Parts: sequence; structure tokens; C-alpha cells
Amino acid sequence: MKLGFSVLAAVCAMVAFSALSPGAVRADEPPVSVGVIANLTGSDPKSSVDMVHGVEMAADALNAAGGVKGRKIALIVEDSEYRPQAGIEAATKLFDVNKVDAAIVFGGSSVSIPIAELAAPKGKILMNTSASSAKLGNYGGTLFSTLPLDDIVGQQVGFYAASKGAKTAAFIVPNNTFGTGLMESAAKAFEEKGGKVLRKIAYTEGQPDYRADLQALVALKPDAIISAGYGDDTRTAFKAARELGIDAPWYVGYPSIFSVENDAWMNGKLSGVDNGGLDSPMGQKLKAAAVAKYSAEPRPHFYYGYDAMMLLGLAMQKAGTGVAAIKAALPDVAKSYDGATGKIEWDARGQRINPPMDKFMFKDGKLQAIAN
Amino acid sequence: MTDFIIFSVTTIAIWSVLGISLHLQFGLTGLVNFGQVLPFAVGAYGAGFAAVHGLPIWAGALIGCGLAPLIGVLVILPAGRLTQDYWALVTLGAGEIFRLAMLNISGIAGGVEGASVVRLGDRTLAMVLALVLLTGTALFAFRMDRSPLGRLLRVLREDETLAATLGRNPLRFQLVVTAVSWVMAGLAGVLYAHVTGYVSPSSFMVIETFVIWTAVVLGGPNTIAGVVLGTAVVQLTGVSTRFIAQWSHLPSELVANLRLAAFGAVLVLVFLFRPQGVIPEPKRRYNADSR
Amino acid sequence: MCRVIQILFNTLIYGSEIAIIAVGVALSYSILRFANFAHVQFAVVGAYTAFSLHQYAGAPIALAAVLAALLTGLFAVLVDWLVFARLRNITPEGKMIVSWGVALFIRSIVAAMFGGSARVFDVSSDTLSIGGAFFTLQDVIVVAATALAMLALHALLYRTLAGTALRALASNRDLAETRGIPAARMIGLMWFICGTTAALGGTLFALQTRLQPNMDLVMLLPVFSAVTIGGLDRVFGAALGAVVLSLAQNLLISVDFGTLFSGESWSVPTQFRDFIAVGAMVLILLLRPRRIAARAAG
Repeated sequence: MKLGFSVLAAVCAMVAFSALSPGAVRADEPPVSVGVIANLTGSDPKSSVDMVHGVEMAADALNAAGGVKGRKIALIVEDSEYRPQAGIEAATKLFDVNKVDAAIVFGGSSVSIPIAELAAPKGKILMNTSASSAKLGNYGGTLFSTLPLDDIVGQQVGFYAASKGAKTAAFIVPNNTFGTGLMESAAKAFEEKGGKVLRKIAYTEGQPDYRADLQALVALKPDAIISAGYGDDTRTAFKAARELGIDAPWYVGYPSIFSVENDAWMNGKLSGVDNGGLDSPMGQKLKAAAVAKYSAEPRPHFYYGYDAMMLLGLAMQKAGTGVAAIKAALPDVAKSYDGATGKIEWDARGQRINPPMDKFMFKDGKLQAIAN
Repeated sequence: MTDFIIFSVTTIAIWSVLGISLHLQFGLTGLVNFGQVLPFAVGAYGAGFAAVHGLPIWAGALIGCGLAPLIGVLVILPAGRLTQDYWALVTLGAGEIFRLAMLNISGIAGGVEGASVVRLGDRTLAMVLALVLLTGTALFAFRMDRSPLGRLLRVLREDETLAATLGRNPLRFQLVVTAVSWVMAGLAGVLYAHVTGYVSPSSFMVIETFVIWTAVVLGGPNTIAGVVLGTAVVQLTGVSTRFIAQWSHLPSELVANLRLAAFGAVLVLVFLFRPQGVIPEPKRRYNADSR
Repeated sequence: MCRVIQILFNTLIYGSEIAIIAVGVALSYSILRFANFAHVQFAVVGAYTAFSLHQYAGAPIALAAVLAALLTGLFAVLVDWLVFARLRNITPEGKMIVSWGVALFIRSIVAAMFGGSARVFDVSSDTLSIGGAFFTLQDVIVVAATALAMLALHALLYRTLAGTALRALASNRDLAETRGIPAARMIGLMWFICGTTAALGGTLFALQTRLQPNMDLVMLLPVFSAVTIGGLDRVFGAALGAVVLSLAQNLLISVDFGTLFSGESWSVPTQFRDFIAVGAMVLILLLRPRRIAARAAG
């Protein structure tokens, strides 16, 4: 074991020396460290990796503009493995060893809440880019969310489905907080408008096939399918629906996270509510830059990560590097910041309110903005 | 740096308790438990259940530590009639059933989202508690090891038929060991829940069992010092990947996967070249007439 | 009626995917007497090999699948030569733990090479319909390929000398060796069969669904459940076990129990499918221990 470990370490050392020079930030002043916690080894790391890319992009932009009061921003990215224990380990290292003032976090409530518990008594700042549990509101003053709560988006999706004339709907969501949270608020809104919910399906994430899950819909024949979910899983769900001959339209929350499986079959069939600004000039510019740098179209968490880092950088710029001062400056800089995801407004609990929402439809092989 | 050291020591102590629990089952008694994560999860979920349903902390601890050996006894009962590999499959399955139940039945402790529990704010206190638990567990296991029961268990491990000819019912002793060692793992689970402040199904995957197995097999399944040493090496390797990733600029995904590959290689290499582990079990001679 | 047909179709499709992987577990169990947890990794390795051959080397899918199966067969022989051959004399528990080490190693290396995200074979097949029940052309290919592989395996085991030798080794190792059966070579053949069938199963599974390093955990419990239902050391029992398990899963989540007992429509939620696999395994092990234990001793 010890031998294997030292061999591994030696290999790593060699790679490190060859890769050190371009990666390191060199400035006369020591850099300001900002922590990033993301699940890089979970079952679906794509959204998480996109978030990290967004943060990198924002940090690069800030550094290109001279950094924070002349100091460069250096990111320290840690893996949360989607487990509370690993998330805490990552946060402890960032706060205690790297002495960061703030960390940008991707992860469900099982990762974010333990980290918030740790950060609150230490007076640190957390920028939340993915968890949307209402419980996170208990950490006001520590935690600031750049994504809106699920119930806001869910409600919009429910209204949207009803407005398209659907009388009956079936729900297909991943069995996680995001999926079921969005489902409940969308169902409530849909029923409020006179719709009838035929079936709620919460599938286990990461399964290879959802045909059995969707089987019931063949007989139920819903007018619409209301859905939410992450890339690979949504692709599998689409495949199952197509193979089962289910032709209902899909009204979804965050269509940009979905992965379309068959362009021709999906044409005009997938539409939904996504965060505002994706189609704005700034959103388009960022998207182009991301495609150039990472050779893939970014998903929404890219923009949430970007906004989180930008706001943090602007607050540091305004207030210096004292944690309390940065905290106080955050809501102020947000007022004049026109984000990649639209205007960002926080309530006292650090939750994002009044987010702009846009509607998108999948047409001719890509998502296109449609009139509200 | 101190916080991080305190955190690492706490982690090592808790996982060492799990290792000692496995040492009693496998090293001493020869039971192959592929669901060692189960009593750990039961303990943690006891705390989670109490937190969600507004019960006091001690009630959660009681539920966790009480339920763990009960389930253990339920799982071990058929072992008397099963050979080891079937029992291993049963324990593996039982661990997964429990995790799936917690994942899908949200009434128990938050389902897929998990549940917040009271968190030990004082990290030093958490470490001290973990070390106290480890010391207590180690002393108990040591006493058990040296007792006539321990000797008998070794006979049982090496030759069940011989034990039976001595008039001993193997199943009874296996029951005792399972109950005791599952209480230990359950306690570790309760403490883990309050140290982490959160209980969620993602903490109790099949892979966790094999991290414990790697530690126990590496250090030497038959000695307590070996188990603690093995756990320390495995957990420190886990923690150190963060520093290696940062220092080497390699993607953390790659480093994390290589770490798990190293654990797998350790399991295989130890069996190939040093089956007794780093710290082997000393040969014992007993004079049967002197007692 | 169409629902019954649909359930039968689904049973056959999923059963095939599991069966072809499960036979290898039973085969190695019957001869080497230990539960090889690394077996499912052969399916993962085979699937990734087929994917690489198809995507990067441009081989047609059928050719890629066959090549990957043969390569994985050799890989299994290599794994045996490196690890298991050196540990023939340790206890079954020991071998089982080692097989977990092998599994952990292989899956982590695959994850390190290909990353955690899913990959998909770029294939799309048409939907067919019989009596209101849906299936795809690909489903037909999966079932047919599995059936062919089973027939070939059956012919190999029951119509050839090598097959007779393998069965002799399984029923009485010592006797077989005294009668001059070259055990070492036959065990090599056994590993090759295990690797080949598992790889083929893995490729079919990935074609139907998607490739990801943690697909091993998705397959592990259904496969071991099928093997357990079939009787652990019975090769075609494992295949039958896979179909039985698949039927149980598809029945339980398809039947509308609510309408049967009361007015409200209610079925078992699909996320409880995993329970059925694990539950069936545990239940069978607990209910039939005497028979199993007796056979293991014999």
C-alpha cells in the first residue's frame, strides 16, 4: 500500500512540475483564494462541472480586469462526491487549511446544509448555485442563492402547461429534492387552473432504462407530460417515451438542462420555463465564450456559477477582503449587477426572489426562445 | 490546520470503530459481512428518525443502537444453516434494502433529501467523543479477544465441526458476536450523524462497506492495532487526495478514481502477498489443563 | 390483453439482458465455488470496449460487440492468471473478498479512463407494435442475441468434449482430475466463456440504455438475484432465474392493485423495483438454505 501510494505521488509530482507554470497565478500581491465545492465524481457530474466552468469564466473576467483591488482571484476546487461527509471534508479544508472567506457550492441539500452548518458559526460566505430546499433559508447572512427556489419555477411550469390547453398531465421527475419539489408546486399550479394530474412518476436517478416507469402512461394517455431532471436521465426518459409511442408534448422546468435524444421526434414537442437572460446579449456572449473554451454548450448551472463568482468578486472589490464587509456589500452590488441569469434580488434569508423567467422550445435541433 | 486535523482524527476514530466491529465478526469469528454499512446506517438513521419526529437525542441514540443488533440478529439467524458466501450475499442485500427503504420512504427520515440532526458544534468535543468511543470499543474487543469466549470463537473460525464436538453451538456464539459488534457499529452511526449533522442515503452506499473491508484486510483482520492502523491509512489516503489533486493540478475526478483503484489493488495485493495483513495475529498456545 | 402482452415482452427483454450476464456467475460458481463479484465488471469492460471499437475505430456495432466479447474473454483469463489462479487454495470467503478488490480496481480504472458521465451508442431503432404492445427492433435483436448465445453455450456444455470436462469439474473436481481432465486448461476456458458472455451482455445492456462506470452497481443485484433464484451453481437455472425475476418486477409494477381492491387507481411505485430484486434474493436464500447448503457441501 505504502509503496503504491508513493509511486502514485511520484507520478503526480512529475505531472505537476510539467503543468505548474501555465496554471499558477502570478502577481505581486498574494492572490485571494475562493473555494468551489462541486460533485465531480457523482453519478451525473456534468451540471456540476458546468458550474465550475462558469465560476472559472467569471474569475478569468475579473482577473483580466485587474482582479480584486489589484490581487488576482485563485480558485480552489474541491469534490463533494455528493456525500455529506465528503462535502464537510471539502469545506473544512477550504475554511481551515486554505483560509478562504467564501465558497461557491454545488450540491443538493444533503451536501449544502451540512456545509452551511459549518460555515455559519465561522462567519464564512456561501454562494449556493444548485440546492433549492426551503431549509437553506435558515442560513440567511451566510448563504446567498443565485438560483431561484423550485416552487417559483414549478408554479410557472404548471401555469404554462395549463395555458397550452392541457387538461390532463402526467409528471415524470427524478426522485430527488429538485424533482419532487418542482413537481409538487407545478401540480398545485396546474390543478389551480383546472387541470387534472393523472400520475406522478418519481424515478430513481441514474437507472439505465425508464421504460417500465413510463409504461403506465401508454394507457393513461395524458394531454401533456410535465417534467424536470438532469441530462442523462432525461435523455433516457425521452427514449423510453418515444419507444413506447407516447406522443404527448413535454412542458418542463429548465429545458436547457434536458438532453434531447432524437431531434426529429422532439421537434416542437419540448418546451418550458427557464431562467431569464439565457437569450440576452450577455447570455449569448457567455455561451459563445464557453463553447470556445470548453467546446460544449453550457447548461444553466454555468450561468448560476458565473453570477455567483461575479457578485462575490464585485463585493470583494467594493468592500476589501473582510468577511463581514463582503457580506454587507453583496446585496448592494447585486442591485447594480445585470446577471447572466437576469436581475438578482435576495430576501433576508438570502433566497433569490422575483427571478426573470423566459420560455423556450426545442425546434430545428436547438432550444429557441419563444414569446411569453 | 488544527480544525482539519481534528476532523481527520474524528473520521479515523469513527471508521476504526466500524473496523473493530468487522474485526470481531470476520477476524475473530469468521463471519463475512458484506453489509457492514448496515448497522452504521441504522445507527445514523436512529438519530435521523428522532430529529425528524421531534424526539430527544438520547431516544434517537437508543433507537439506533437498539435496532442495529436486532436487525443483526435477524440477519445472522439463517447463517447457521448457510455457508459463508450465501450469508455474504444476504448481508449485502440487507444493506441495500435498508438504504433503498430510507431513499424511497420519506416518512422515516426525509427520504432522498435526508434529514438534519443536531450537530455537535464543538469540534474538539466531537473528536473527544469519537476517541472515547474508539477506546471503549477497542478495550471491549480486546477483553473479548482474550476471554475464553475469544478462544472459542477462534476455534469456531478455524473449524466449526470441532467446536460442535466440544459441545458448543456455533450459532449461539455467532449471535452474541453479531449483537455486540452491531451495537458498536450502530453507536458509530449515531455519533457520525451528530458529527455530520445530516443523514442521507448517499452516505451508506455499498462502496462504503468495501472501504471498511480494505482497511481491515490491509491492517490485519485479526488484531485491533492492525484494524486501527489500516483505517488510518485508508482514511488519510482519502483525505490526502484533495491535497494531491490541488498540488498536481490533475482533475480531482481522476485522482478520486485512482484512489479507489488503489483500494482495490490493496485488497488483492494483501491477499496475494501478505494475507495476515500488516500486523499479523500472534500465534497463541494454550495449556488446556491449567484452567 | 395488450397489457399482458406488454408485460410479457418487457419480461423477456429485461430477462435477456440479465440472463446472459448471470450464466457466467453460475458457471464460475459451479467450478470454482465462490461468488465472483468481479464478474459484472467484465460486462462493463466489454461494453466500453465495444463502444471504443465502434466510436473511435469505426467498426460496425455487430463486429465491435463480437470483437469486444472475445477481447474481454481474454481479459478474464488474464485476470484469473494474475489473481485468482494464485489464490485457488484460500477459503471461498477470501476469494469473494479478493473478487471485490478486483471489481473495485477495474471499475475505478474504467471511471478514470472514461470519466463519470454517461456515453451512449449512437443508434436509434424503430418502434414496432403487436396487439397494442410496444417494442423496438433493438429489443428483438437483444432477445435474439441472448437466445443464440444460450444455445451456443448449451451446445458447448452438452455437445462437446470440453463441455463434458467442464461439467465433470463442476460436479466432482477431484474425480475429474484423477480421470485426467486438464483442470487448469479447462478453468481457462471457463474464464473465457465468462468474460465473453458477460461482455456481450454488457454491450447489449449499453445499447439499450447507456454506458456509465457505475452501471455495474445497476446490474450487480439483479444478476446475483437471478443466480440465487436459479440455484447459484446452475448455469441455465441462472438464465431462468433472470426471467422469473424480470417477470416478478414487471408484474408488480404494472398491476393496478388499487383498481383490484378499491376504486382508486394505485400501483407499486416503480422505484420499488430494486426492492424486488434484492428482496427476492434475500428471501430465496433464507427460505431454501438447506437445499443450497446441502448442494454446496456435496
